[in-house]
Amino acid sequence: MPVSQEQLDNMLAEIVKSRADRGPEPDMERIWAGISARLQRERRSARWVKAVAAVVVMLLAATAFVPQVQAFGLRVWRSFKVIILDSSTGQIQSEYEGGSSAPNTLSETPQEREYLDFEKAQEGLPFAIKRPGYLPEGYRLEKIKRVDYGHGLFKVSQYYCRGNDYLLITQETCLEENRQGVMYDTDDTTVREIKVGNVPAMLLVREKDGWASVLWNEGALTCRIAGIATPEEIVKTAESLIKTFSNVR
Amino acid sequence: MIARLLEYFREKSKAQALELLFDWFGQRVYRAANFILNDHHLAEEVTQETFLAAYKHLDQLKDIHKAEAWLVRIAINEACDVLRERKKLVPCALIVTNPASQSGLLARQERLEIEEAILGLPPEHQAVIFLKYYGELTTKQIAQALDIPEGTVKTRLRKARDILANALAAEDVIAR
Repeated sequence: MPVSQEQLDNMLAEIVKSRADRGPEPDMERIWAGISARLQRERRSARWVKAVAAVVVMLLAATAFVPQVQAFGLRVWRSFKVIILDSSTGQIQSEYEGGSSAPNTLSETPQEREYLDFEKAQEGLPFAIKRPGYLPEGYRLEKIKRVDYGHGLFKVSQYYCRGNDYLLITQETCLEENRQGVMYDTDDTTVREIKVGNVPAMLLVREKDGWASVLWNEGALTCRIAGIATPEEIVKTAESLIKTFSNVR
Repeated sequence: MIARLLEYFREKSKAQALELLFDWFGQRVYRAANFILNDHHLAEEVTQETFLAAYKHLDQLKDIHKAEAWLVRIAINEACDVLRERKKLVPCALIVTNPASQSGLLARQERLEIEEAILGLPPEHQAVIFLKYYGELTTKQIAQALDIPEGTVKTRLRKARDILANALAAEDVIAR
């Protein structure tokens, strides 16, 4: 028996309405709370971008006069490039991520030196520079940078390169009253608590540009590995360091 | 209602405009997503995504009278994307136990087949079908809201009717 268009429309209306209305009543308050929270996050992020841009402009303006500011300005600019302009390279990322500032209770000017061999870099340090027993394939040591903040506080960074990729291994002493923070791209970085060997550590992974980092504490030392490598490679490198950490003086 | 929304737009208060749009059309957007997805958790997610997308592109909404259709279209596109990504099938158990379907005009199995056939149509067809049969808009209103010719609306609706008519004809043949 032929069915009229009106009957077909009625049937379709019944099908569509029953399908759309199926299931429990939606919790509109919860849905809005989710939207609202994400909007706030995006607005905060936008404000942060503006703040960074402002800092960059100010610092670059100051760079013509003060060499130290110039260095810091360059680092901020590089960070800006990494996070905002998304043109990261291992070197830029490493310098940014590894660039924790000197303890703010110290007034001395930090002394920076670069070395090509571990023995010279080691002289006078209160802790042993740990050489990795394992490195992701292709990485070679480029330099060792040592920063003396005074008051027995040091930071030692080992720079490894593989073409344009960089991997940074950092050991840094810190004052008990100081806390160190790590800045990362909250939209694209996943952060996990892991154990490297038996040591609690934090793993940060940014898949979009193949970057990973692991951090842990060893007594008065904060250690960090960051660079262009898989999380597995970074963790394996960390494990190869931790095995030799019993020598810390 | 429209006056308040216009006021927010004039004041460039995007967040307030969005909240107002959510108050008015949030349920409708959720229903559009649920129509495609048949999963209330996913429908809630898609509702959130729809309004976040709307917030980003609020300046594209030139005519506030078209806000509902605009949001429904975004929701249906988002829901179709989710469906494609998850390759989610319509859970049969839900349909079988749904009291509305038991009292409906069509047998359950047949109804399921018709739903699947309609959902097999492209997202732009779904938007027209939803606005016509859920939103109860006329073909002219749908055409205006979606910025498409009225003839296109009619063609898309005819397609849905054809699916149903074919299903009924097949049932008729089997019954004989």
